[in-house]
Amino acid sequence: MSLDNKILSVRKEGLYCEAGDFYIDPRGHTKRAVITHAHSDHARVGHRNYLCSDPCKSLLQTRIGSKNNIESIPFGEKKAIGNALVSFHPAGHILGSAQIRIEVNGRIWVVSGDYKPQKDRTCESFELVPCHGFISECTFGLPVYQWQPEEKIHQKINHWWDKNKKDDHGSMLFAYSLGKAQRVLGGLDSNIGPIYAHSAVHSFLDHYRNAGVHLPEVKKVNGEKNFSGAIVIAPPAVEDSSWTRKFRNVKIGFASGWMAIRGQRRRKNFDRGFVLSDHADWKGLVDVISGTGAEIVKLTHGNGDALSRFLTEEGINTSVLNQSVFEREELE
Amino acid sequence: MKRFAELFHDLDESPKTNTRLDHLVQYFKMANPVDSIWACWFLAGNRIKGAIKTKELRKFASEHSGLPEWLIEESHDRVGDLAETISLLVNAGGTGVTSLKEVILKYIKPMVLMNMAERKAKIFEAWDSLEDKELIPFHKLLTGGFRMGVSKGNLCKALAKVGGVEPAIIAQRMAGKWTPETMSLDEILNPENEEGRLCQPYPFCLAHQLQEKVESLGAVKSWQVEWKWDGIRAQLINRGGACMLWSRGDESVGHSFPEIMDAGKWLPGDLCLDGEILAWGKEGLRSFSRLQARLGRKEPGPTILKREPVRFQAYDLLRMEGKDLRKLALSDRRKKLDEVLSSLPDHFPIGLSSLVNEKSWATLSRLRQESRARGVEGFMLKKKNSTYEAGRMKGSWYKWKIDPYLADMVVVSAQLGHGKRSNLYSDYTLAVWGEKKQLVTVAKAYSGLTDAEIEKVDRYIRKNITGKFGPVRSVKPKLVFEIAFEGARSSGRHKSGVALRFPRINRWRTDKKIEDADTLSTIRGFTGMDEKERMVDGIHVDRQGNLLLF
Repeated sequence: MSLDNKILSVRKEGLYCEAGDFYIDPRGHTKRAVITHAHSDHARVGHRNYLCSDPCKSLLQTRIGSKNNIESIPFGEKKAIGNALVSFHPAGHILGSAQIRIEVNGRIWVVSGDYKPQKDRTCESFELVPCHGFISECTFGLPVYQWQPEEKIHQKINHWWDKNKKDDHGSMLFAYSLGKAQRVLGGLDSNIGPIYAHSAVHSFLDHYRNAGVHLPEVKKVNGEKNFSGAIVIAPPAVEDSSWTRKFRNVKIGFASGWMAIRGQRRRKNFDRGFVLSDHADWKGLVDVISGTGAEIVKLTHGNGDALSRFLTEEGINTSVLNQSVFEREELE
Repeated sequence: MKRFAELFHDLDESPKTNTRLDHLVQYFKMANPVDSIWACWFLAGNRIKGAIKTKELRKFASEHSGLPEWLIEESHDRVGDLAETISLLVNAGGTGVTSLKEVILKYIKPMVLMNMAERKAKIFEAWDSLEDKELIPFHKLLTGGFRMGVSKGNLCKALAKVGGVEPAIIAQRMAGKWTPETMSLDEILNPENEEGRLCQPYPFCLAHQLQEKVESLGAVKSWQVEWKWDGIRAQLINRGGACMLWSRGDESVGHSFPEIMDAGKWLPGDLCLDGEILAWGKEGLRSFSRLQARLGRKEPGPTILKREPVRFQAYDLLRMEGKDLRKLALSDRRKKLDEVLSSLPDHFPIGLSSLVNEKSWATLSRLRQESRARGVEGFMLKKKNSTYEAGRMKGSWYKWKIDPYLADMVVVSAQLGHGKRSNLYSDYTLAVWGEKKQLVTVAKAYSGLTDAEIEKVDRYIRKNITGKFGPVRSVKPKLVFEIAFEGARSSGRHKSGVALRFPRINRWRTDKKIEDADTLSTIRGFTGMDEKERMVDGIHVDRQGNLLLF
């Protein structure tokens, strides 16, 4: 399926730009992969060459385990690949996350990757990029998803932690190991008690510190027994594992946009859900998409039917991009 | 309202019963009693009916938020719970309302009598006064779907802690019909106030299903064995010639059964019997379905009284001569019950539920096989030394029921569940094959699958929706469930002409295709419906051989 002037098309590996002969966040084995950000469902091993933003590079190296074939350029710098001009622009999703702007013969398409226009102290601020065509994620494409400012959520987390401490409990907070975990850590009040992290979370901390993000002192969980009064940040993947079961007397929380809906939290039996997301909420999606001034909008990553219908009724030419290529594991 | 909203969110966020109990106790200690009596009333399962139609609520929310109505529907579909959906969509503009009572008397109650324009103005006003956290509880109270996962038993426990009164007494005070306008929190919690509520029922003592082998219960002689009647559980109270008849839902049902009320007056004064209302003709016990004709009727006329007679079959004595006997051993209560009811005439609409005296479990097991033919559901096993407790007591009262009927059925549509299943398709409509090789709906079932199975079924349903009818989604027939049920009766309200009793999912037959599902005629056949119907609809002749027209 060709999207517009052959700038982008959908192939089984993912989005493909013929003018520059490269893929964006592809699967499989391609000659050149242009990467939006270092989450595992966007940055995969197996490609011959990688291109990403400068601040994404070290994370991508950790993710794919090599560095020889990774090229990076600063945000905003245009690089010619074949007949295409490619540049990266901050997406505000996680450290180094980018939207990819592709210009061919004066036509401009932007692939959003994952993004959020909301404030996040731990990564570069989202930049609105005017374009003709916009491929947008729509993970939280319903108006029931409305985020509060992160300061408010940080307060809630600290308050919860403090209360658990007073009740003689530890606090175990699940947060995706790259991005969300650091965002949570950045807001913790280290006066309350010691802060621990699962090794998967810990391994990304230096990347953030090197990028100038201030984080409190965080210990790696290492066989300690008593976590009363402490907080432990761990990836949701270990939620049901023996690692987690070893912790006695801890209250369990989860930081994710999905926690906006009570059913989601209760079914998993978390004690507390904190609505903290690294994706755009409904208003964020609508504002960004209309703000780009794009004539054509394609939605991926999520159930885009409602958002697509809403934008179409608002007069924006919107449709849902064939999902099968983008089937992905839930990140949050 | 702030405190009540906090209670709501605290309960919502604590899965553990003890923590929930603490939150309740804390609330009732701190809250203003004029507010907490309302909380008490709602938690006890009462609701304000007719404040708003859900369709209107969606429409108003659409206008308030500027979102199209279809988007509200889509959101509802994702969230599952309408009160929650609306709370997420409208922006509360206010600083909150202090008093729960005020919220109810100023906003919710007046809406019942308003026209649409007034209601809209009222609800906009509420949205502009309430604060964010108050929205969900407010919408829950408004739509009546107020569930906090607090059982009556736990509510009573919490109140008992606050007032320093026995939970059973609290339960009795809260039984029956009352409103925050007729009762104060003080009256519920008052350690003195025993009088005045004697026309109210005691909380019913309930039995557990017998799970283990019956032999594990020990010696037969320590158990009182009764037939398990298929009727309506009720308490009959006579207080100096004034009778009350209470069903288990704390519903006063006396008006539907005037002959029982009349007969009750002749019993010794100030007494409370526990028993079962049964359809009972000259020939004896009749099927439960015939009771249905009496149930819905407020004041049954002479015709229906004659055609569908009933009887109160008593099996326990809870109060006599004003004395609470619940702490006596069952065997002692039974002795007194025998004395009270022994000399009643045969045609009297109050009778004594006889005991089944056998020496061994083996004989009883054989007898149990006759249950269906006798029109009962099996046996009740009650420990002879047991006291009469409020609620479901383990170890002393058991239902030893006959095995249910089983049939394989096809899932043809589904609906979102409630509570923690509120965004899962977990309520299913089931069908069997009719005469013309078409699927006919015969039952709805909600329970029986594991959480993991429900999630799997939910995923299948979401991918295979073929149509939307309000909240119901029709799905491509593929899933086959084995459904257990207690019986079937003919029904004019159901397209299939059959209504099943207590259908629930026994297991998911992943090994079966829809072609393997059962047929309507099998269900009619093996529940003996055809014969029963002949009995019900056949010609009725009285003792002299006169044809009865009614």
